[in-house]
Amino acid sequence: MSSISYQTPATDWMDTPVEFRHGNWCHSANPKSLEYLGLPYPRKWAACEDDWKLPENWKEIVLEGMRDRLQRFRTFRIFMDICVRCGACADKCHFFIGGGDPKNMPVLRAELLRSVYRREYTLAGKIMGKMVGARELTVDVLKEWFSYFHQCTECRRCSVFCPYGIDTAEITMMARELMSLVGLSIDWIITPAANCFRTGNHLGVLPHGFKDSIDFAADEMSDITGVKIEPSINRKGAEILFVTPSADYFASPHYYTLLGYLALFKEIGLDYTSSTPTR
Amino acid sequence: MRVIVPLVAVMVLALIGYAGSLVSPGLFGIIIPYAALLIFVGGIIWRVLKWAAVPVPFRIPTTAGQQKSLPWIKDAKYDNPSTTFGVIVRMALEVLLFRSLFRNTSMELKKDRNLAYIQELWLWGAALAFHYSFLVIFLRHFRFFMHPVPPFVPLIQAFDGFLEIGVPTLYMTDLALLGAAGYLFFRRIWYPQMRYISLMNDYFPLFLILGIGISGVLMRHFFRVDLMAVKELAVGLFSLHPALPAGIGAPFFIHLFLVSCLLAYFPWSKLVHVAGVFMSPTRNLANNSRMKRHINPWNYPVKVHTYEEWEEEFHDLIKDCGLPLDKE
Repeated sequence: MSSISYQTPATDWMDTPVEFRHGNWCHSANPKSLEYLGLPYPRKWAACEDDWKLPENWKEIVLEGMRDRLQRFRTFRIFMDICVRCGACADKCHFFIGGGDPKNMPVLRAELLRSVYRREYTLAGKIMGKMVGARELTVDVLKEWFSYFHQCTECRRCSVFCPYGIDTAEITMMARELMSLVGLSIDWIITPAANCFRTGNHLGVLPHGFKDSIDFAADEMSDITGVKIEPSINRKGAEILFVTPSADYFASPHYYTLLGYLALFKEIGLDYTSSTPTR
Repeated sequence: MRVIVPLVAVMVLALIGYAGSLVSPGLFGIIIPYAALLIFVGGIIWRVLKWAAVPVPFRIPTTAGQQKSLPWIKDAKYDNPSTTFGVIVRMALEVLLFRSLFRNTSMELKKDRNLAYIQELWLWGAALAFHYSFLVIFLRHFRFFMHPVPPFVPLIQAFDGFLEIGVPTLYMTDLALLGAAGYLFFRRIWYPQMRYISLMNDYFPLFLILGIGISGVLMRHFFRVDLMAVKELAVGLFSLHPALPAGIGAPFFIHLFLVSCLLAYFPWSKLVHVAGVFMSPTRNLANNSRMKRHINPWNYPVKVHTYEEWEEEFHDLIKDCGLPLDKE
């Protein structure tokens, strides 16, 4: 904890490239999940490698995506123009507090995207470039976006302290959408989305898997109490659809909460049913 | 580098103003101010219209308090507004008292793994002092813009100069503006994180405004100009009957040219936050998505996976474990 250094690096932030080391990058999306969702450019790639196998016209795709979103989201457009770099947000992000990396300061995280916006959409940016904080979109910039826009949890704390409410979460969402246009998504997001689409739950649990877990839990509770519990699953005509959190049948100690309410529902005679697809 | 270039730029602009007073006072006294004002008004309108043309698809106000739910749970009326009135109060507190900056804290990581947040009001104080003294100084200048002088001007002058130091009397807002702007500049170069993120676009308006303030103070207290002639010019400009009296000294033209530069620069810079703060969707929306349905104007049909498709894919598995099926 005492080794967190808030000292700014010697190099300017535009000249400090990202270093992908073991443990500091997210795994890229499984191509099968991307294909299932119909998202573009599925392929096997890893952040630690040099070649991210981007499509030939990746730059056009990203810039066109940016242009499209600037016309559909007022937040994106205003937040690109309004920041006065007052620094009120700077030490409010828990990632910055916990790591000291200045690009985790919300103001600078936004500048990663804003610098490209300036280059493309402002006259001063086109002419004066780096002096006014504008830069060209290169593969290194895209890699930087991949690293830092997945270091934002979109908690929006920074937005509370900003005088205009500039929301780094919105900017992060835009950047992630732009990266997804060229197939740069992380597995942690895409595979649960694909699982939800296919099986109704983010873990990809199949119908018999859920039924077996619930039956097992009911049997265990029956053994403990001596009272036979018959859980209800997918029963039409029930009064209440009970949607249980997935953790409850996967892990301890929540597992015992599951046993508890199975017994409770039996005791109070609740007319409920669980659902295999949803939870 | 980022600091030197804007500083030199402002000095060059001041020199241009000076040269202009000698070479072509008509251009610098009438044409440039009018052009700058047109660019300012037109530019702001252009920016606002450009923002307004883009839709707000989702309700995303940033909230900092309890949402309105059951009647016996006290909700944060202004930090999490659920009515238009709440939004108006929130916006008013933001614009008039810089409420968000009042929340500001600095952070200290202590040796025993303790993270401390300490209230930090310097930024709030300096920003408030800067903006309000700018407003008061602008209102005081109506002494020059209008004839007869509107009644609020002597009132402001009385409060502003109540210390009665010097002749002409020293105005507190002059000191406040220069002090606050100076502090804002100082903190930008003192704190390493601020230095790291600051750009030319941040230093330039600061130097410009400092230049305007300093030239104004110098003009008032040291390098006097013919005030009657200045008033004649100003009244002429504002009543749209411009006339250029002779004998207005160079310091006035420097001041006027710097002001014209600020007006012309305004709409193309971060200074448009003046208009942007009112249009920021995270502040000007009520958090009432639970009460009122909001439709995304560019909503489009999204591909969904239906129950029938799910059942068809896992038909055999469902049948084997004895769960009910819609289609046997």
